[in-house]
Amino acid sequence: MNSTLIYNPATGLRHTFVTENLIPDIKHACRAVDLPDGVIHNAIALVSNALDNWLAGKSEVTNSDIRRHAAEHLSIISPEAGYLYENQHAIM
Amino acid sequence: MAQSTNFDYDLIVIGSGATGSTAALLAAKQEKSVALVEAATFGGESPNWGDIPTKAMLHAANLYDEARLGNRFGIRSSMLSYNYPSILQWKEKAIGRTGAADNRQYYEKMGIDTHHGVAHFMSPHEISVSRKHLTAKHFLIATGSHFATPDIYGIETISYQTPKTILSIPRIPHSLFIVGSNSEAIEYAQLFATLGTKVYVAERSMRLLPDEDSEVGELFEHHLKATKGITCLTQTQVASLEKRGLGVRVSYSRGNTLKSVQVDEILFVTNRVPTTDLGLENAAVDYSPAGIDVNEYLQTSASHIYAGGGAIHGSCPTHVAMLQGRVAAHNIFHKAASQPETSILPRVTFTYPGIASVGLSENDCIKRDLPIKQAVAPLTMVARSNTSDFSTGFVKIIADKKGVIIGATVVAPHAGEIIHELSLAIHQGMTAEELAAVPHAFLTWSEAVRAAASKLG
Repeated sequence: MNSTLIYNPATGLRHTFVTENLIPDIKHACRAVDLPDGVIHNAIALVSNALDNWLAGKSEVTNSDIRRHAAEHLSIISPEAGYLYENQHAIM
Repeated sequence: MAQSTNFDYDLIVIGSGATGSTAALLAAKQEKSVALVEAATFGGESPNWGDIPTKAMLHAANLYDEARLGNRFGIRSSMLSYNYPSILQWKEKAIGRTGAADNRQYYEKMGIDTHHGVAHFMSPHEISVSRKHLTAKHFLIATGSHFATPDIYGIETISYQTPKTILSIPRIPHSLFIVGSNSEAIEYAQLFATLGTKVYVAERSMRLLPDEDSEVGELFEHHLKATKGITCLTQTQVASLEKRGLGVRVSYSRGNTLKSVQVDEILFVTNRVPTTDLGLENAAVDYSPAGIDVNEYLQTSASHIYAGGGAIHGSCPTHVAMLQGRVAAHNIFHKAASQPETSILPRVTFTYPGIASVGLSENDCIKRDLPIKQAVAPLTMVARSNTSDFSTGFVKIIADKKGVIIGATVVAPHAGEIIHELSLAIHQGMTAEELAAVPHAFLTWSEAVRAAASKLG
């Protein structure tokens, strides 16, 4: 858990980053490419840890930063899931 | 200070090192509203842990070495010793005297707003620094580089040194393993070996100093072995690291055999990577692992954002970084854009003897298939070699087929001073014959320049 704020440049609003909020979208992207549940579990752990490490020392980032970094790490496990996650608002 | 409408500043400079501070000061002199953002220590690498401390300590070590070897000149030096904490104090004094090291007030006095924290782009004209949002019409990214964790088995089990940390250790290590043999690595090797450390230098290439001409690497390998007892491990790759007591066991592969050595400290010099984790995507700035992409005017893919120094190259000498800072500050506020002149930038290694080069190297000419003439004048050709009892080094001049000087390498005491004559000759398009016609004072090392030029002329 960290205290990084997520800033939305379009609205000017900020909220605290919560790693758990990413989980539904990651699961959604992984299921869309038929990843087994065990792999999805690993993917969530990997992405959450990577994001927590990346955000350490950062006071404020944007939603797109989070999505891009999460997708980058998800792509290590499944490039297709990573692509879907990064672009799911446009695709799904 | 005249401020642009809609933006907090005319220019926000991210990074206060050689590129950033040069550009910020120039912009402030032009009555622009400027902010300088620094994530670590104001002044950046050069005064805080780079050039200034290293060269201050090398100066002390060279003095010690000269005195230690003074017997041949009739100087009794058997009782000579040094006190390492005092050398460290001298280093701190030299850092303090720069006025730029960790001195935020200096920039404030010059009319520059300073902000301490990590900058992150929120949108093309907006950054966040410690949750404070700042906007500007223009940006200069001068974040420099940082040392990435080397990808070696066992690295997480040991504590290792980088150039940022090595001069802060309180006592001289008994043994030091240096990974890499670029200019910086050779300076550290000579510094610690002079002070009594057993030094190992591991290099993947066939010779030390792979960026210089082959004569330099070969000569230095021999010189360091003969005078300092440094073990030079060329064609060597570190395989694994293991913590052993207070030290490190380094296993390395060389010539298809795996060997290992126990050392007090290990220093990684060459794993610099550009600092680009700034939310550059939010500002549409293109970058790669090699650095931020810029055009010849130091402009990034976002036309209002410029970049320079280590952020675009990884490793960048201070004089190059300062030049880029000047060029970026000019291009941001003037319509007639200029380009940094890179062909006459000298490269200097502050060892003894010094190494300096400028223009094209022999390897560059071979790669470009340029027909060249070259001449080498060993230091033994000049009388100063006799009076100083020192003969390790040479001056090498490379000219095109018309005799115009296009490159030079100097290995000699004060090479960093001698090289500027050759920079000027290249800049002015002089031929070797014209340079040879210039009288050089008797008993100066620079006589070797005339000797090499006259061989070509």
